[in-house]
Amino acid sequence: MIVRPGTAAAALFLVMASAANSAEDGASLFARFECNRCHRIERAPDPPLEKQCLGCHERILSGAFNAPADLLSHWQGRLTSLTAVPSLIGTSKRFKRSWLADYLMDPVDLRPALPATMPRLRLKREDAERLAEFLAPADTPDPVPAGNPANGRKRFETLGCGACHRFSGADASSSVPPPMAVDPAALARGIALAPDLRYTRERFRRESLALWIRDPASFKADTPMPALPMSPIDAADLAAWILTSPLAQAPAATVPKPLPLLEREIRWPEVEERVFKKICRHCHADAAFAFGDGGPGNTGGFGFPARGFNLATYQGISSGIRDRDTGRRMSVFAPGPDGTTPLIVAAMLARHAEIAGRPDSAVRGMPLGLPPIPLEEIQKVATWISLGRPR
Amino acid sequence: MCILHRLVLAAVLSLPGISPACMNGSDGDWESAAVAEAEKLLDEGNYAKAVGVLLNVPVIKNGSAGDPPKFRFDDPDLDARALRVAAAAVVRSSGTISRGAFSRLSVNGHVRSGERDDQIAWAKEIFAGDYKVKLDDPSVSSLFAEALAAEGRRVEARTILEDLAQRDLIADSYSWATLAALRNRAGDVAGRDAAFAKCRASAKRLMSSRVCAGGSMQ
Repeated sequence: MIVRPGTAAAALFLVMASAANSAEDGASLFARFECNRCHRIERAPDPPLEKQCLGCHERILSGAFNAPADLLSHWQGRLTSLTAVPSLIGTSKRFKRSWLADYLMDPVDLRPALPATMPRLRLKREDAERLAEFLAPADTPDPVPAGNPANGRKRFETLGCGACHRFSGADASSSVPPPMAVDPAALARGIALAPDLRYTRERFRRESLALWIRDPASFKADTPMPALPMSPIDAADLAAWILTSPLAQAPAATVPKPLPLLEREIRWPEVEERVFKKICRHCHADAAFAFGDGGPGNTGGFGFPARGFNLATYQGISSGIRDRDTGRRMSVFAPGPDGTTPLIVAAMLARHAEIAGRPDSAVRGMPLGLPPIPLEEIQKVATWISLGRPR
Repeated sequence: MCILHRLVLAAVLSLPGISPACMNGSDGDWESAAVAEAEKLLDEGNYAKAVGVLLNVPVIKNGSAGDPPKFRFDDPDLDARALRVAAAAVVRSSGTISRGAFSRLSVNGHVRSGERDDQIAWAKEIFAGDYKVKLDDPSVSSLFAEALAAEGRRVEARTILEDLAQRDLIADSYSWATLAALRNRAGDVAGRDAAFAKCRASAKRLMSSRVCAGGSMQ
């Protein structure tokens, strides 16, 4: 059961979370890092609507959001990120604790069709381990898979698993659709949320995988994965193949190089429209936005302190950001760690590096957990800064 | 009165009512819409219009916050924002904005005379209060410095603005213009020209010649 805000269960959760604050156990860390802004879970309340990424986007897409029809239509045509997010229901029955902690510290692009990824949060290793402890029980020794991998590979093809799942590095192909009628909307959600099976061996509790494959909803009520018609032996064979199939090394991704500065004038309205208003302002809004919540990048959230960074206006971006350690304001146009690239541009480029699997420990990639800003748009921002940020 | 407020502001603003979680959302919150519009008008140099839009906002009209409207945002800073716009309009108009209806503007219930010096002093107190609690907020600091400069406290004003300039945190063309004037008065011609260049970059196109031309050197 999902815990709803305003209920006795929600109050109890908050009391428990705050009571445990001295030790910062998993529940209070879950609350502090606001994991349920994006992820639903049965053991924590949904936050208020103005703090929900997924709930807000779902309402916009369904037309239930309280906004004029033309504005709603405009948003619906542009909304691509965070329209589907995996819930954390039933994680204790599925995931390995060790993998969860590693993943929280160093998120990979687990779901290739999903535009967003797990963001790099400001987590210490012990925080990640306590969060993993909250989400999954202690790991047990992995049993040796009992099925027949060769038969599992065939079943992968005939059951149409590849309609949703990628299995990168494995000798896998599946062009057939699932052997059952699937609602197109459910299929689209399934494709978006389907993890790359390459990670399953580190991620999934081995003793649970075959059971999950046969009856996923018994583990996670809201999963888009259908219960495909198969025998327990088929499920065991599939699990064995997924867990033991040889995997080719992932190709080394290259970090794209920034484009040179443009040789034309760029003024604030252009970068505001193309970048700051279109992307950044969701998290770095005016402090008064949404009942006083200026977004996690301004008034704090996701475990980040309030940095006071407002990208809603020219004055806002020019007023800089609070230093994480000293609290003193600093310009986002000052050189970043490499000594030359403006900090705000460095953060945008760092997101490209994160996607390529090479996170920069000195700069957190922005936008947090979202697709990188195209290099052509970063080029405009860099040019605008080099020209003295004309209004 | 609430209905009257809504009618007047609807005519002025023509803003759609949208969910409060949306950017610039109002959802019937005429006070928030009025303050947002006043900030925009101030930024465009329309001081009288900016203040005109605020005249029915309780903190401006009565000198106290009054009862919040039914749909008001939970924005603890709204009254402060309204006062900042009014005070900035007073300073940037050299106190002349106080004529007419705006002469009713008051603080803590004390009706002000509308004379220039009193108005500047009032505005400076508004910013001084903000400055005490938001020590390192560049927009607050620079507005306070503008008011200090308008009051003739140039050394203090320049100290604040030079610190912000050194950290590349001056966010407003008016503040750059003030710093240019202060540097000019101190004989720093190169510094003045540099500040004016920054002023021109940070001013809206149509505002540049009006704000950054150095016509009102202090």
